[in-house]
Formats: sequence, structure tokens, C-alpha cells
Amino acid sequence: MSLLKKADEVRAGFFNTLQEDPARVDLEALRIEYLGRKGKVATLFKQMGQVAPEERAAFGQTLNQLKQELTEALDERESAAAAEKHSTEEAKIDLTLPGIASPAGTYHIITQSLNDMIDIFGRLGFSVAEGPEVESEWRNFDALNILPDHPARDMQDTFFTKSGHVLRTHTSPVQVRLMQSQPPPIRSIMPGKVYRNEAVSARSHAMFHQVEGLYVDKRVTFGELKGTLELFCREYFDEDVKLRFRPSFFPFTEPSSEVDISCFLCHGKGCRICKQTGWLEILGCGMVDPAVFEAVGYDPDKVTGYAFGIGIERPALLRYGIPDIRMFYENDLRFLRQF
Amino acid sequence: MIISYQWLRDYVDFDLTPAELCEKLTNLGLEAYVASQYEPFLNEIVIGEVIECVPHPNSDHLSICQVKVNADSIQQIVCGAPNVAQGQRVPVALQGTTLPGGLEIKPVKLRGEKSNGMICSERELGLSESHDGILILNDTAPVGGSFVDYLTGGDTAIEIDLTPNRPDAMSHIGVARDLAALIKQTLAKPKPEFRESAESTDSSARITLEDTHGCPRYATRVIRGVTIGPSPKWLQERLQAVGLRSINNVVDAANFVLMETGHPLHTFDYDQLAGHEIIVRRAYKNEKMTTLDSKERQLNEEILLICDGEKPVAIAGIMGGENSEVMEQTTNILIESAYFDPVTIRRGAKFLGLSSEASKRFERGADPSGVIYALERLTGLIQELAGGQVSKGVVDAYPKPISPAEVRLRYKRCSDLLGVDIPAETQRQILTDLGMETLESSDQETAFRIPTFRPDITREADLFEEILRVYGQHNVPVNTHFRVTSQALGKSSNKFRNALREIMVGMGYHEIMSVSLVMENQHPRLFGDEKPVELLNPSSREMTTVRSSLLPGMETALAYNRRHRQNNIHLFEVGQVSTVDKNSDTSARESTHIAFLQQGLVQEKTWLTPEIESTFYHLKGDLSKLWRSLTGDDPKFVTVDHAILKHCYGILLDGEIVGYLGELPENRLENLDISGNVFYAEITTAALEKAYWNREKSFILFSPYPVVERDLSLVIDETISHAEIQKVIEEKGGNFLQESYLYDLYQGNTIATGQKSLTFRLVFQTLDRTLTEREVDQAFDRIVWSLKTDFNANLR
Repeated sequence: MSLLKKADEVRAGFFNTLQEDPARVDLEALRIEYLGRKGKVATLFKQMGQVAPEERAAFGQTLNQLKQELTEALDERESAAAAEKHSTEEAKIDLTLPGIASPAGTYHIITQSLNDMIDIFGRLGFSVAEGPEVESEWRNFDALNILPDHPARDMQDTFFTKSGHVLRTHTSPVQVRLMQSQPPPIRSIMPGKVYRNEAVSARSHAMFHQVEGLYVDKRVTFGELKGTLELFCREYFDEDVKLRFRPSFFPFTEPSSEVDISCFLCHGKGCRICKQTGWLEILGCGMVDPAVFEAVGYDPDKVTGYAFGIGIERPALLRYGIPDIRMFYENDLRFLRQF
Repeated sequence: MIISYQWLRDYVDFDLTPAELCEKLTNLGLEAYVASQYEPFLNEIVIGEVIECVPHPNSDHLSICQVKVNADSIQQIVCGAPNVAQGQRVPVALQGTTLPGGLEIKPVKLRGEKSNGMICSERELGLSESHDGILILNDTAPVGGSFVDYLTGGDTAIEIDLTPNRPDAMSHIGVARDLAALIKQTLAKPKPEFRESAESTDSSARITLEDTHGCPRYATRVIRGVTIGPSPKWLQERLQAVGLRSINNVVDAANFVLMETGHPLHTFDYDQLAGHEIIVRRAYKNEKMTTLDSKERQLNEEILLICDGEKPVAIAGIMGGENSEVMEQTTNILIESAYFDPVTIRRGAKFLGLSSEASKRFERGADPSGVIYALERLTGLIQELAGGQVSKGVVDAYPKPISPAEVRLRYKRCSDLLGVDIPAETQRQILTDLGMETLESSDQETAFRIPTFRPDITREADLFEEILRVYGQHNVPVNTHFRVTSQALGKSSNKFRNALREIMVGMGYHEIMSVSLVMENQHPRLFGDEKPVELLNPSSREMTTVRSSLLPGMETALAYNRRHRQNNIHLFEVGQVSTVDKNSDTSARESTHIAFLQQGLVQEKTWLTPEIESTFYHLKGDLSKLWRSLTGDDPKFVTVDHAILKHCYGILLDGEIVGYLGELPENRLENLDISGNVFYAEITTAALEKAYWNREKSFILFSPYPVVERDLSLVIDETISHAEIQKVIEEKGGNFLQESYLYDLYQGNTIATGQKSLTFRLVFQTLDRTLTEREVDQAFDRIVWSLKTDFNANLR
């Protein structure tokens, strides 16, 4: 039998097997049988020597074609088989089943708000200072120019401890502590809990949070105060927020301002939340009163400063549409999980 | 405080709408808004005239009215009110108006007759509860005119929220003064006018100031032969506009001058004053008097009284007495215009729980120099309204005149502080417009005499505020060229607390925030025998004590959530707690604690995984993870017999117990009315924070060679603790033992009673080569041999 004929037989044998029931054909065995090192194609190559030299080139070409043909046929069949196997396995996996999540907790919304503020003021160069919640009357009032019998002491009803101290009514006593403990400059914010002896209702609570800021240095200006608060409000509330500074009164600042921001819900058009005014009263501020500097031993002719205070709960109530301030401290998981 | 828009025009000329006026005043520091006592829909109500009214043919109670609602429109309206009649002027709601309660007016047919509007009752207009019939207006009400204008007389009430430092602005003249300075108009103060009689005030009344501290100045005049009667319409309207009721011409005149000048005045029935004299003194102990609201008042010795020759006739600066009140039959009156010490009045008003228009002004600081002007103004007004002979001259008891303050202003300093260059001339002009007088002056600075109506201005900083008020805070340019200080860097406790929170949140805990005021009995003494900080003046029984532990708040939150059908609960709180500390200058020591608790499932059942119930070991594991994350080390525990927590471990740091973990006992769970096991930990964070900041992080070389793992299964007496076994493994494992951990624990059928089976995984590795079987065997055998000899353990 001529070698060419043998090659045809090998080809026919291969395709016959391949065309048998695809499920039963062992493609790997077939590859070894035909294309392996001792396979049928290799055997043909070994018989090359028997071919007449002038026919060798043509024969070699035929064999190479055969080898390529078988390899391609096998490859094709293998990838088809793999695809089929994959799709049967895929069909068994229901990817629509619910995922299994790792447990995740939540930060309290007040913590989130405080951290947002600390972060923003941090980028504006303010450090964080803290102090105790039980305070001396002197630091909470007198040092801040809120003198006994001053009507301003009427502005806030105070909790007293049995030992004659107070639960701080604002975080301002931390300012006093800071200034007493170090020379200027000071650029700090003072977040924390404060207390007022008020009836607890949907609108007001005996405990709430505040962030105060203090900057004392040479030649600090009201213009810088405006700049600081404007950047803060833009970052904290809304990029397009507008600020309205209007004169007010605090015993520890002079001049003092109340700051309104354009309502972030209606953008100043007037809505229920801003009582149709377009403005929300959000913080108080001013230039540190010289009496405060004197109380802590700073020379008011040498330094000036500004201070500001912002509540946490009220903006949060407005921002998230929370109907009742008590919800912050009820710790209902259905509330906590929302934020 | 209410200011009338129209009344204000008497003193300053302005061309501003009420809303614009409010904006100007607000920018001046007098926070003002239009007091909208009326709902917006009222602006749509018009005044109509019923020009014809006939019975409805198909109804026994309806009428068909032709109502003229403006010069050229007559609408047919079917009306059910019994009091409707031809010729009446009535409030009409026309098509398009929506009344309170949602009733929208539109053309309808009522029993076959067209009706194009509604004639309203007081209740329908939201003015009162009266619904007996429609509201009938005066015959002079202009047809087609605005009903709101009819109600308000075309005036607008402006509500001003005054800050406590501005007593001078508690009047129309005071507000007008600020406004005039802003809009560069002149303030027009009316000139008092009256005719004096021959009789001198001196001979009619004697004033004795026994307490010149409480009453530095007292001035008076007597008017004889007045006729008490109703006030004229203009006066009634003025008072009504600011929310005051008209009483009679004399009382109304005093109220008018109060609202005009801000200076409180009082009128006595001269004939009721024994000896026709006034003595100002403090009250005696246990003295009583009846004020003109007919209430008997118990006084204290601080309260300042106005007395006649025999008895108190008024509580100075707070309220008059019933015994000397001006009544209908009064013919002779004595006018009091005085200046009282703010603190005295404030304390008195506080003690009596009585706040009046007068006390509000005196306690903030009236104007001692305004006494005479107010007196003369009232004198003139009473004579104009009630007639009478005015005594000649004023008796003015003012032994030690109060001298006005003088304050120096450095112009540059003002510009420097505000951050805007305000020319000296502008600064000076603002202050003089506000009533300040220049004394010595130079280019750099000026000394000003401060009028006595501005007791709040005593220092240069106060002048800065005045200048800024009028200059306009909104006119100061925003400056964002910030200077940064070195403090911006550094360690903050907040950063530590956030690190702690992050780990807790990552482990599935929800952060809570509790009220830090708790009930008296909520002092668990978790950390020993410390005393809680108690409040002197608690506002409620629930909040009498400052928390000494986070436990009460955590328990409250747990119980709350259980009541609301939340079952698998992981909570944590970070917060300050306080205990009594005599050595502190606030008698309290405060520290930050963290607490966390678990109840129910740590993992809920899913279609793929089983549920896992919370155990002490889950809490312990979370605590250990927290500890390792913060400090880099495993926590050290010590068993303690805790007064509150059962199965309790103390957590050691630097040899001190800094916290506890354990289980809440049954009695506490019963109090909370909850079932199941609750695992709880609370730690005081000071030492932990220190460890956090001191933690040193440095690279430790790990081996590139493969590990060899061996499992060690042993059966051992059940009383031998895991810690004891672990200790032997670690000690005997040698340098090659990298890691060893328990991964199976079994007691039951196949194990003898009193024994347990434990399986540990041991991991061996070294840095410079692959370990040989022999090396691993040697270490393993050492461990086994020790466990056998020490604990009589058997290998399985």
C-alpha cells in the first residue's frame, strides 16, 4: 500500500472515530492515538525514508497538512466540548439567588455629622479640642462675660450639680481651658455634648451637640470669619449655599452675628421648613470679646480672634427630614440603619 | 416686641415696604419680620355690599343675594346665614379662593340657583369660633376693598426679636433712630406741649428716695381735674396695632408713651396717695401687697416698693398697686417717671414670677436721662386727651446723676478688626447718627460721649459693633487667605475614637447615642464604688444623674429595640461618663468609655449558611479583634467575680483592669423585660488610647519556605482549661512553631465521662529553609510528651 493511501486511511479512521457519539469519544485518547509521540501520524512521518527522494517534499507536505487538519479538528471539538460542559455547569448555578453579606454596622448620624464638620474644619487648619461636660460656673459663664444677674444668663437654663457646678450649656468653656493653657495662636474647634434645662419635646432636648470654633492670633478679622464660615457652609450644606450675616448679641463676642444660610431644601424660594423665608438660622459667631481675653490672661490690644458655634441636631433634622429630635437618642435600629 | 409700620413713620421718613423694612432692620441687628397673624388666603377676601337679598324659592333658610364686590361687578351668592340682609357690608370669598379646611370656592348651583361665591362667618375666616352667622362689617368698609386692610386699618405689625443688649430699641423712637442712621434720615422726636398752672409740683408732692441704689432717679408731676374717658380712635388704633388693649385715656396715654419712647411710666390716683407723697424703699420681710391685677403678692426684702405716706402703692418698675390705680372716678393724678436699677428689677420680677412691659425694659436698662422727656410727653398727652391743670415744674429726685460713658475709638483698629477699610469720617458719622457725641478728636481716634440710652456701650469693641451694624455685615468682603497654626497637626482623641468606631462598625455593630442623664437608681457601679454626679435641679425624674457608665443607656436601647420586635442586636456606644471626684475643680472625673453588647444571632440563617447564636465567645472574639486592631496585641484577661456581670472577665492593660466583659444577669434582664442571653462589655479607654498612640508598627520578615501543618487531637480531663493546654503547646513547640489554634472541641458518646476531646492545628515554619519531617516530629513529640506528663492527656 502506498504511503499516500495509508495517510488517507489514517485520516478516515480519525474522522470516523471523531464522528461517533460525541459524548463517548475520548478526545484526549484520540489525540494520543493519532497525534502523540508514537501516534499514527508520527508513524507515517517515520516512514518518510521509504519515499523516493523526488516525492519526499510533496509527501511531507501532505503529512503536515494531515497533522494540521487533525489538530484543528480536535481543537475545535475540544473547545466545543468545553463550552458545552461549561454551559451545563452554568445552568446548574442560579446566580439570582440572594447574596450572603458580611455583617455591617452603622455610625450614629450625630457621629457622622460631627466627623464631617471635624474633617472640613481640619482641612481649614483647625485642630480638635475637647473638655469636660461638668464644668465650673466660672468657665461656663463668668470667663465668657456672662456675669451673674446679666440677662444673658436667662437665655439658657442651666443644670447645676449638687456640688455647685454646671453641666456646660455650650462647648465654649473649652475655649477658656485652651486659652488658659497656652499662648496664642489658637485655631481649634470644640465638638461635644451640651445641656440645657429644658422640657424634652419633639423640637428641643435637654442634651444636644455643638461644634464651636476659635481662632486667636494677631490681626484676625471679621472678614476671615466670614470666609471661614462661607467655605465651611458650602462644603457642609450645599455648593451653592448663600450666607446672610446679621448683627446679633452674645456676651462673649463683640461684634456678634447670627448666620442664616439659604434654605438647602427650597434653595431660598421659601418652603415649610424655612417658614417661607428662604433662610435657615444655623449658627452664631463674632469677634472674641475683649473681656474674654482679659479673663484668660490674653492682652486684647495684642490679639484678636473670632469664635463661632453651630448646633448638630437642628441642621440634621432639617437635612434628613427627621420629624422629632428625640429620635436621635431613642436608638431605634430602624432609625440607626437608615444612615 | 411689636412695632407698627405706620406708627414708625411718625418719627422717620422712609420709603420701604414692610418686607423691605424688615430686611433693613434685620441687617441692623433688630431681627424683624412681618407678623402675619392672618392666613394668606385672607388677602383674597374682599369687602362686598349686599344690594339685594330675597328668599330662595326652593328653601326655607337660604337667601339669594346680589353682592356688589367692586365698582362694576355684582355677583349672585346663595347664603344660608340667618342674619344676612340688604345693605350690609360683608366679607366675600370669590371664585378661586380656598378657605381653611380645603373648601374651594367655585361657581355652583344651590337648589337650582347659581351661586358665585361665599359670604363668610368669623369661623370660616379663621378669626374666631363664632359661626352664628356671617360677619357684618362697618358701613364705612370700602366695597371692593381688601378685608385684611379693613382688619388692620392698613397697618402692618412688625415683630422684632430683640437681643437683651438693646433696651434702647424697645420702642418706636428707638427703632426709628437705628433706621434713620441707616437710611440717612433725621429722627423726628415729637416736642411735648402743655400749659402749666400756677400751682407748683413741689407743693403738691414730695419725693423721698430711701434707696438711691435701687432708684437713682424719680421725677413727677401732678395733673388735677382730668376727665377719665375713652381714648380717641387714633390712640385706640395705635395701641391695637401693637397688641395692647385700650383701657382709658390716661392709662392709654401712658402706654402710648411707653411704646413711643420705651420709657415705662406709671400714673397714680393722686387722691389715694396718703400724704401726697412718694417714698421709694425696699419691702419689709413678709410684706404683702395687691397689684392691679388683683393678685396679692408676697414680697421679699430685695423688692423695691413705691409707697405713699402709709403703704406700698406699686412694686417699683414691675406693676402698680390696686389701691392707687387710676379709675373712672379719678380726677387728680400723679405721674411717675423714674429710673430703676436693672438688677433690682430683674431679681424682683424673677422672684415674683411677674414680667411686665415695664419690668422688661427696666431690667435691660432704661434711660436715666430719658426720664424727663417721657414725663413731659405723657403730661402733654394727658392734658390733650383728658384735660386738667398741670402742676408747675418737675420734682426730680436725682441725687447722684448718672454720667454718660466716654469711649475712645481708634479708627484703624476698627478697620483692622473688621477686615475692611472704613474711612474715619464714615465711622464718626455712623456713631453720631446713633446719638453719640464727639469729644476730643484727631485723625487717628475720637473720644465719644455715649448717650445713657445705650447702657450696652462701654468699650471700644462696642463701638466696633455699632459701626459694623450700620456699615452692614454683608458689606464686609469675604477673606479666605487663612493662616494655619502648628496645632492643626497632632493626635486627637477623636481620631482614636473613630478608629475604634470603625472596627466596631466593621464587625456589624450599630452605634447608638444615649441621653447622658439617667435616673437616680441607674448607677450600676460597674467600675467599683464611685459615686455618681447628681443634679441639683433636674427637670424630670428620668434625668437626675449624670451617667457613670454606659450600661443604662445600652440597656434602654436594647429593651427599646426588643419591644419593637428587633431580635438580633449588636450595639455599641462611645461616650463620656462622670463620677464624683473631690480633687477635681468641678468635683467630677470624666472619662471616655466604650460599651458593646450582643444578643440573639450573630449570623442569621440564610439559604446557604446556618444561623449562629451569640455566645460569650463571640463577644470575646470581637473584643480581641478590637484590641489587636488598636494595640497590635491580644488582650489579657483575668477572671473576676463581678458584682453585676456574670461569667465575667476583667481586661488587663499595664496591670490594671480597664474593662469587663460578661453576661447580664437575670435580674437585670427581668427589669428590662427581655429574655435570652445578653453579652456585654464596657471599657474605659484612657489606657487603650495610650496604647493605640504608642503602638509601634514595624516590618517582621516572613518565611518564603512552605509551612508544615500537623493536627494534634487529644483526649484530656475536662477540668483542664484551654489556656493551660495552649500554654504548653506554645512553650514546647519551640522556634519552629509559628501558630497553633484550637479548631475542634468535643464531649459526648465516644469520649469517656469527665473527658473532652480537643483538636489543635499546629503550623511549623522557619525563615531559612524547608523544615524536615524529623524536625517537625521532634517538636510535635515534645508537646505530646508534656501534655501526657502534665495533664495525663491521650493522643487520639
